[in-house]
Amino acid sequence: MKKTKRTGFTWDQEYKSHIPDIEREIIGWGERENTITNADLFILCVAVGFSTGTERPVPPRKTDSARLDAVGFESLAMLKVVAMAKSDNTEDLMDEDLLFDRIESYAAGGLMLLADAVAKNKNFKDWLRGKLVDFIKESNSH
Amino acid sequence: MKITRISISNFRKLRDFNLSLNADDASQLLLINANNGRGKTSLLKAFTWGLFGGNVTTEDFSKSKLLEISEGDFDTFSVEFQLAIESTGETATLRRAREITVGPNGQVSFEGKETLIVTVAQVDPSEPVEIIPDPVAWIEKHLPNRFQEFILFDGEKMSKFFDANVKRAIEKAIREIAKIDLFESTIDSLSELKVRNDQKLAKLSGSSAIKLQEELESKQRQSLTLMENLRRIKDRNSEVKSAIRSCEAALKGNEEAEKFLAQNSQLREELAGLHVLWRASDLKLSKTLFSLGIGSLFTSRSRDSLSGHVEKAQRAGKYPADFAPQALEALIQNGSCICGCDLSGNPSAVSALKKVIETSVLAGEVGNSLKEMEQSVLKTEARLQEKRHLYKELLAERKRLEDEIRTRQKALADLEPKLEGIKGNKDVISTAKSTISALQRERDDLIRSETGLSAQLEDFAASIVILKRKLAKATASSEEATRLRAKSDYLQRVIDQGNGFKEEIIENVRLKLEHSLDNSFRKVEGAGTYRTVVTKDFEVLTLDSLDREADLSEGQKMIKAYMFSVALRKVIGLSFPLIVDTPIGRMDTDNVDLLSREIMKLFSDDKSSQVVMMMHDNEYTPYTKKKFEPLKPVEMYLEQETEDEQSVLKRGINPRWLDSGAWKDWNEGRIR
Repeated sequence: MKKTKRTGFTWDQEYKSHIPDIEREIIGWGERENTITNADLFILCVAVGFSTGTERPVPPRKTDSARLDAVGFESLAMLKVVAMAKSDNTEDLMDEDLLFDRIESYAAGGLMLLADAVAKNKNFKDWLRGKLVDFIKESNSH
Repeated sequence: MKITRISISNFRKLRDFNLSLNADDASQLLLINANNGRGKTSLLKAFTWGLFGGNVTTEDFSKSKLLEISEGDFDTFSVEFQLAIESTGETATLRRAREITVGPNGQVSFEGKETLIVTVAQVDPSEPVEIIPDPVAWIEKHLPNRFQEFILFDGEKMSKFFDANVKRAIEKAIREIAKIDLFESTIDSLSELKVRNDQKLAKLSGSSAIKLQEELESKQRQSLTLMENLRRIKDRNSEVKSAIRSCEAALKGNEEAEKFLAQNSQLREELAGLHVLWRASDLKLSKTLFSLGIGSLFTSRSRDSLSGHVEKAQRAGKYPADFAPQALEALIQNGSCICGCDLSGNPSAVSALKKVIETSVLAGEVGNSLKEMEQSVLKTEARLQEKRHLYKELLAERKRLEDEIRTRQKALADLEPKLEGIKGNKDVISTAKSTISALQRERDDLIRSETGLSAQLEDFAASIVILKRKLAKATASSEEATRLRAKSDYLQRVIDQGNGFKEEIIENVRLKLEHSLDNSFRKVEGAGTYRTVVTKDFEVLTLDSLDREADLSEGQKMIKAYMFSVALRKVIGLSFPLIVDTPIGRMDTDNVDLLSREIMKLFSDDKSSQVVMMMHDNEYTPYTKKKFEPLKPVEMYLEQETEDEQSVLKRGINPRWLDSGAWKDWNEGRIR
C-alpha cells in the first residue's frame, strides 16, 4: 500500500480568504464550544463539494488546512469512503495520496460554494441549515 | 403675640414696604396675596431674617435702590416688626439691619456687623421705652429659634411635613419647652465635679488608682462617643424609615399601574430567559444538525459504492480471510506446509508458497481497508441513529420554546395599551421603587451597625463596672479618702436622679403635646377613629383602629401639620404668629373649608393668636375668599407699580384681578 507522507490537508488558496466569514457564521456547531476547528470546517467543505459533485483541481501541496491527526481515524476512514464513492477501481484504496487528493478537490469545490453562499446570503446560517436538513432527508429516503 | 406693624426697607423687591395694623384691624388673619414675581418670596425671606436672623448676602439688597447709590456711599437694608404681647400688654419693636457699601466698579460689600435692636414699650405710655440689652436672648425667649420650623411654614411642603425630617425639630422644640438644656448643663457641671472629685481620690490613693481612674475616664469618653454614634445611626434609621414611608405613599393609588408594570417586567424577564434558552437550544440543534447532516450525506451517498467495492473484492478473493502470513512463513521456515507435508529439499515449492503469501498479503491490505471502511460506516450509522433521536427532541424543544415566546409576546402586546395609559405614573413608580430598594439596603446596613454598636456599648458598660469595682478596692481608706468617696457617691446619686427627672420632664411635655394634637386631630373630618401619637423617638404618627399608620389624604396631612404647630403653641403657653407661604397649594375646597374652620377654632381658643397667609393668584380666588370670610381677614396684595421691580403693599383685592375670570364674576355680583 502506498501510504501518504502528508500530515495535513490543503485549502484551495483561491477561496481561502473567505474562511473567516464562514467560520464566524458557524461558531459552536462543531465538536468544540465557542469555536469551529479546521477539521470541522474541512469536513463541511468536503460534504458540500461531494453533495453537489463540485470538485476543483487539487491545489499545490500545503498543510494549511486540517491536520490528519486532528481529523481522526474514524472521520478519515469516512472521508476515504467518500473518495471511493465515484471510483470503479477498488485498487485505488492502495494509494492514500490519490484518495486524499480527491477529498481535497471536493473540499475545494465545497469551499467555493460556501464562500459564494456566505457572500450572497444574508442569512447564511439558515441556508446552511437548509442544506444539512436536505442531507438528512436524502438519507431517510434511501 | 401679634404682629402689628412690619416695615421693610431695601430688602430684595421690598424697597419700602409698610404694613400697619391699627385698632380697626381686629382680625387675627392677614391675607397677603400676590401674583408670582411680586415679592411674596422676598416677604417670606424678610420674615425669616427679621425674626430669626441667619444668612443674607449683598444680593438681598434692593437692586433698584442699588442703582441710586454712588461709589463710596453707604445704605442699609432692614426689617422692623412691631409685636403686641397680650400677656403683658407690652409692645416690642424688633429691628434687624445690615449696612452695605458700594466700592469701585459697583462692587457691593457689607459694612460692619448686623445690628439688632429690641425695644419694649410698657402699657403706660408715660413709662420710658426700654432698650433690651441682650436682644438675642429676648428674641430667643419670645420666638425661640428652635420653633422656627413651626412659625414659618412652606404650605407646598406641609402635606409632606411629617414625612420630612421634622423629628429632630420636634425633639428640639420639646427640649425647648421643657427647658432641658439648662437642666442638662447643670447635670454636666455635676458630672464634671464628680470626675474632679474622683481624680482627687485616685491621687490620694496612689499610682495604681490613678491609672485605673484614667482608664475609667477613657472608657467613659469612648462610651459617650459610641452613644453619640449610635444616636446618629438611630436618627438616620428613622429618617430612612420616614423616607421609605414617603416613597410607599407615592406608590399608593398606583396599585393597578404597578400591577401592569410588574406584569410587564415579569413578562420581559421571562422573555429574556426564554430567548437565552432558545439561543442555547438553537445552537445545540445546529450542532446536532451539523454532524447528523454531514454524516447522513456521507453514509447515504457512499453506502452503495462501498458495498460494490466489497463485492468486487470478495469476488477477486481480496476481501480479508483469516490469514496469518507470519505463522505460514514460520512453518515454511521449519520446512513444513500447512497441509503437513515436508517441504525440506523442495525449494521450488517453498518459493511458490512464498509468492502465494506475498500476493495474499497485498490482497489482504485492500480487504482490510475495505473492512475498516465498512466498520467505520457502521459506527457512523449507529451514532447517526442516536443523533436522529436527539435532533427530533431538540426540534420539539425549540418549537416549545418558540410557542412560549409567542405566548408572552402576545401578552406583552395586550399589555401595551394599558401601559400607554399609565405612562405618567411609570417614572414615579420606578423612581419610588428604586429609591425604596436603595433605602432598604441602607436600612439593613444601619441595623447591622446599630446591633454592632449596641454590643460594643454593652462591653464598655461591663468594663466600666469592673473598673469601678477595681478602683473602689484600690482607693485609700484614710479619713480624707472616705470623705471624697462619700462626696462622689452623693454626686452620682444626684446625677442619676437628675437624668431621671430629665427623662420624666421630656416625657411629660411629649405626652401633653400628643394629647393636645390627638384631641384636635380627632375632630378633623374622617379622622375620628384615628389616634395620633408622638413617639419616644419624636415621630408624629397617626394610627388607625388596628394601630397601623393611617392613610391620610393630602388635605388631612396639611391640617395635621397646622394642628401640630397649634398644639405646640398651646403646650408652650406662648403665642407667636403662624406665617404660611402658599397655605392652600393644591388643597381641594373641602380641605380649604376644613382649614378655615380649624383656624377659626384656633382663634376662638386663643385670642392672641395670629395667622399670616401669603397666597398667589391661583390660590386666592373668590371661592377661597368665601371660605375665609367668617374669619374677617385683612386682605392685602403686593403689586409692582413701577418698572424698577419694587413691590408695594396695598389693601383689598388687586383691581387687576377684577378684570377677568372668577374675580370679574365676583366683582359683577355673579358669585356670592
